[in-house]
Amino acid sequence: MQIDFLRFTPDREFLISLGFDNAVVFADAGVSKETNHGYVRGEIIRPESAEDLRKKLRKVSKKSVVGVESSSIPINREAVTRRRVDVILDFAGRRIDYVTVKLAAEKDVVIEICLSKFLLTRGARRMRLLRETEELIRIINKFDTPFVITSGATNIYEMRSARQLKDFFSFLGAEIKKAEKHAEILFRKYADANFIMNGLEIEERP
Amino acid sequence: MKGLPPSLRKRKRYIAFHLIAENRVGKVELSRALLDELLALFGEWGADEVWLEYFDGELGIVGCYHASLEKVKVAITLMSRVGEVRVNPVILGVSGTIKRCRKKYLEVLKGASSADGL
Repeated sequence: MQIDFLRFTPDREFLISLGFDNAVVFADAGVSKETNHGYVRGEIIRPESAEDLRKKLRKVSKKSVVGVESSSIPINREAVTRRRVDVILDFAGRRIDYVTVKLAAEKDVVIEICLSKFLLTRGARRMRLLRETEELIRIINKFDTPFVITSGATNIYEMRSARQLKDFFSFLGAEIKKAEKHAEILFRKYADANFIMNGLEIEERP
Repeated sequence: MKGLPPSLRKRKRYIAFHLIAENRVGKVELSRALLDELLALFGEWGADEVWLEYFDGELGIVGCYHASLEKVKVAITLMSRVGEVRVNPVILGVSGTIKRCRKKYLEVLKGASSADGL
């Protein structure tokens, strides 16, 4: 199952033509409460401090995927220890360290690696991002941390086909099969009522 | 080099793509944007091993050598603008000959409709 994580609601036909089966559409927490086009809803939390993160996590909906977007290492580290956080979202300014990646593997928090940050930057900045992403993938492989590869697009021009995403991130050293598995687990946790956890699901309801 | 025996010639690959653009994009601008992207990402070594074989404003074929296929695919994926026009190049597939590339990817798309599920 091919799942993309987006920051806008695309046309369903267009998403399918790019080779995806479904998507998790992230919006700022509290902005949109209804699900569109059958996509799974996601809420973005942008905390200013660890205290702010805890406060905002109390308000999020239980039916939506919770993603934390922060450029602070201590906040991202705090975020992976919170049970309600599902994914550490990616953007050009995200900063994440070795300890956070290791902790994310223990706490089963997914780390997103998105393509859109490479499309929005050029030159020396993109060069640094490519090196950092390659390094992050190496640490993820070492600790077997859950991760997903996504387009992270805010419009259709930042989207790419599922095949292109796989080719690009396998070029950087990512294990694509694992990324697909983690995306499917996270998606089914919120979209499939019969799914309890990975490897445990209800076959038939009486 | 001309006149090389077949066993010494470099193997070629053809990448079919669909360009979704804000405005109309010309063949020359697209070719320049692709070359700029390759130069920015991988430098001058091997950057001449790619050429735009065909482009009709929407569908196109990029030719390259087999050894640089992965690099060219990365460059196409990371191409977000042609001049000032925002673009989304969607790779349809890779083939070993132009004839097969046209038949398998471009002609199928030209006659396609959403009613057929294509």
